[in-house]
Amino acid sequence: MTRQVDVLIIGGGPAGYVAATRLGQLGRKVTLVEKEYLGGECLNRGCIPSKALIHLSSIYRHLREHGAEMGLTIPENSFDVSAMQRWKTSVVEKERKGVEMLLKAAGVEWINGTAFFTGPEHALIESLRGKEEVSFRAALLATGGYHVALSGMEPDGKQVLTARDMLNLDHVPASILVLGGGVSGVELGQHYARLGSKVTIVEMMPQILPGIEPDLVREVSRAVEALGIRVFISSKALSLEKGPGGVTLEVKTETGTEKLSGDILFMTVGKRPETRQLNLEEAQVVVNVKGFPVVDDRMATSNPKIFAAGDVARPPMLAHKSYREGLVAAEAIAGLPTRWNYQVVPSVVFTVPEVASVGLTLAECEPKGLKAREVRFPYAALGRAHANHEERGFVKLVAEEGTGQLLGVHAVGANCGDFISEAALALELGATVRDIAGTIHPHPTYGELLGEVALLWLGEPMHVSVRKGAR
Amino acid sequence: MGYEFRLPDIGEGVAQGEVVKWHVKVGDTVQEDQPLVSVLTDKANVEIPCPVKGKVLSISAKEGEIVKVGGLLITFEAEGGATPSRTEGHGAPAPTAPAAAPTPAAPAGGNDRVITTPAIRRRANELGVDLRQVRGTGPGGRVTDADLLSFAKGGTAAAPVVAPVAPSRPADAAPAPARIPPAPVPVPVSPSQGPLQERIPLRGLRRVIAEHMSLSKSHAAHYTYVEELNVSELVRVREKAKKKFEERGVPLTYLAFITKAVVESLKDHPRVNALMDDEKGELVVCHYYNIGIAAATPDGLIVPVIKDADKKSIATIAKEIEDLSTRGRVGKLTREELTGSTFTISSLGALGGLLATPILNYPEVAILGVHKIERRPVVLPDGGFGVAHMMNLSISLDHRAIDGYDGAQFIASVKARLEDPHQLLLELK
Repeated sequence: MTRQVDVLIIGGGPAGYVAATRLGQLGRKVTLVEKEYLGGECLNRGCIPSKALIHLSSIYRHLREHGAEMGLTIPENSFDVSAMQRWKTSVVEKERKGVEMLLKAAGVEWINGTAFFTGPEHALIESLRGKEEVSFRAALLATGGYHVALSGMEPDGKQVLTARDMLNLDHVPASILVLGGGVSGVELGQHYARLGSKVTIVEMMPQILPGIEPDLVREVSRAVEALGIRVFISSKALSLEKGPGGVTLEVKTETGTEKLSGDILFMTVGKRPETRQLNLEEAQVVVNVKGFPVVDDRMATSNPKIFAAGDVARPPMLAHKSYREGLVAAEAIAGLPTRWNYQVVPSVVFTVPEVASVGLTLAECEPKGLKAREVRFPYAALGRAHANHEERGFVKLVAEEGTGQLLGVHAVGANCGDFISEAALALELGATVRDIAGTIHPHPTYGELLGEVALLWLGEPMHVSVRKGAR
Repeated sequence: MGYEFRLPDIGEGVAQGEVVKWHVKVGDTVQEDQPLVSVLTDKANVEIPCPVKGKVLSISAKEGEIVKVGGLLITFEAEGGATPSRTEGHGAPAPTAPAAAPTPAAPAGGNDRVITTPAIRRRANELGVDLRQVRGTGPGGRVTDADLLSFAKGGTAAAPVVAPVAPSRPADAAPAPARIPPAPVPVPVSPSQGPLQERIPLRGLRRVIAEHMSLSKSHAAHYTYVEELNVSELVRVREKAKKKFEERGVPLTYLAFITKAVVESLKDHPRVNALMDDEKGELVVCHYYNIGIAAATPDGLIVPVIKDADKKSIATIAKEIEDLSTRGRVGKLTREELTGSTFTISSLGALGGLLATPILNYPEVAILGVHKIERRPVVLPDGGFGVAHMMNLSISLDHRAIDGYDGAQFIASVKARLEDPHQLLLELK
């Protein structure tokens, strides 16, 4: 018996659940299939649990480092890993409940199972209730991404671990090898280093956090080194040996080969769109060479009844981008004239110091024929940064010469992920540097950095002095 | 670097086409000349063959997408390695006139940044406005809410760009200058069953018809004139001749007689066989007689053309109508067979009611609607009552070119020929 469903959503992560709730608001009936937990990677094994843990280790480390000076000290190893895990789990469960409530309020039918396509308008849902063939009026692919591993080094849950495993550890390993110096490698590598692990990061590219501007990364690298983390850039893992006492990774570095050992290996080399079990060919959904379904600005795939949103649809693989793609897809499915026409997608890396970026970098302006100029304002010139003992970092502002049109803002330093939203809004609104400078930023906050850097760009700095001719 | 295949110049001033159907998909191995893609221009459905032997690397234009001439369609990995420089199209069927169709300017390269707000972007979506076309009056060219609204309002009123008309009718492409639909239709929903409306995008032929009809209505000053004909004699003549024709495989339809009568009458009234060149403000009177015959197909209306109908006999015309409409129903007509008419006849056959107000096949200035033949009571010349085969003709004309009196004269001449078909047969060529 084939059941007719209205909208079938495969995947209950940021793209899937947001699309489901929006479709519910629009009067559509959604059947959502999630193979694991609502909230997807972000909520269960990504952003949320990692931030819960990172926040704790950051406070600990900050006080260990500066506490004596500030008059608030805590003893070494004054943390309880099991209790931290309980806290993290409680946060995740709370959030997951929240998503469940949202879906319930939207009248979404939620099935814990898997689904794949059996035709351009049909899918098979497998769950504890058994197998069920459904036909759909529209479907949304929101299956996220999967983490890839180097062959011969596949995660085993014991010695070779994934990000999910790393977030669930009930102890602090004495030594950790991190293969992959990208966002999660550095975030979690730093986390365990703050709690006392000896961490080694191996990255293939010539810098950690590939893709992020080198001057921002330099600030992070300094902090990484200060934590005693060893970093091998431009280095390739050749082979892995597992023994009773730990793992040994043979690495080809810039200068030769090196054998690195550690208790465990954290494998974090990249993510691909999760389309492996979906039978997309049967659904007449065309994918590109990288495995992403080809989507248009309504998030529709080559099959006009099937949409895709989130990590599975296209990079960048960021939860807030997934939310918005979910919204666009939902409104498109409901027949609204919605298009993806966001100007910018901001990004934040939760290292210490934090990195945040939105819009164009100076290097990206030239090929676009934009004559732009960039200035930097240091955290060290901000009252609040001193008060919090967070003087590392700076904010850069890129704007077009002549018009003063804002083109990008890039920052490294405490809490920059919070005030980057203001820069994103400014870019969406097509604001000029004068618009930002003409807005009062409350004192004392990190947000002031944006007002300050705007004034600096205009040559009217308030809290830094500029030598004549240096502008 | 693969072999890039772009939309070829299909001729007759076609500037763009809509990808209707791909016959290949990414990863396919293809042979030269196998069917590649169906592209709908404003005139016809054109099947473009595969230019090379090799493998499909990527498809750049999705079905339903409108591609300009020169726009990238597909990229192949050509067998034996084609030179990457070869990116032109080839082998478009029936490239008729060499037509110096200038490729429309590529979208301004580089910076088409629009300064505005997310709220205005959303509203533009709802209004179907491309913000790049709106002149911003705010600081630095910022598009304000007022700019958008006045563009949207002015857009509906403003006359769209009109393509020049020449006798060969390169017509064109009128690349629909920013179509501004009225405010979006709200979608009522019933919470249990979903929307009570269904939204069907105007795609393919439907879209072409929609645009063409609106263009006609927004340009020509339509008026319609209806005349009643006593075709009893025509019915007799046809009945007599029908069998003979059928033996030769020709279905002798009334439409063939009507076409002939129209052509002969056009010779008497040349201004009716004309095209309106709105750009130059000139009426282009045609001294050739290409009669478009409107035909229904499953996808919508098409108008195949009987070329040089004045040089053809009723039998030939009958045969051609049959052939064109049969092939038209299955989408097998060439561009050439669907273009170049100077006058159009729309017959609803046996269905055809009492009167209609046909919309001109712009830029033509006249279109004839043919209604059914039926027996009606009539007053005979002797004052008594009788029964006769009667038929109505509705003709729409562009009042800018033809006044009511002239239109009536034209229809009177068609009437005379059809009421006395023997005269028509004398004119037979």
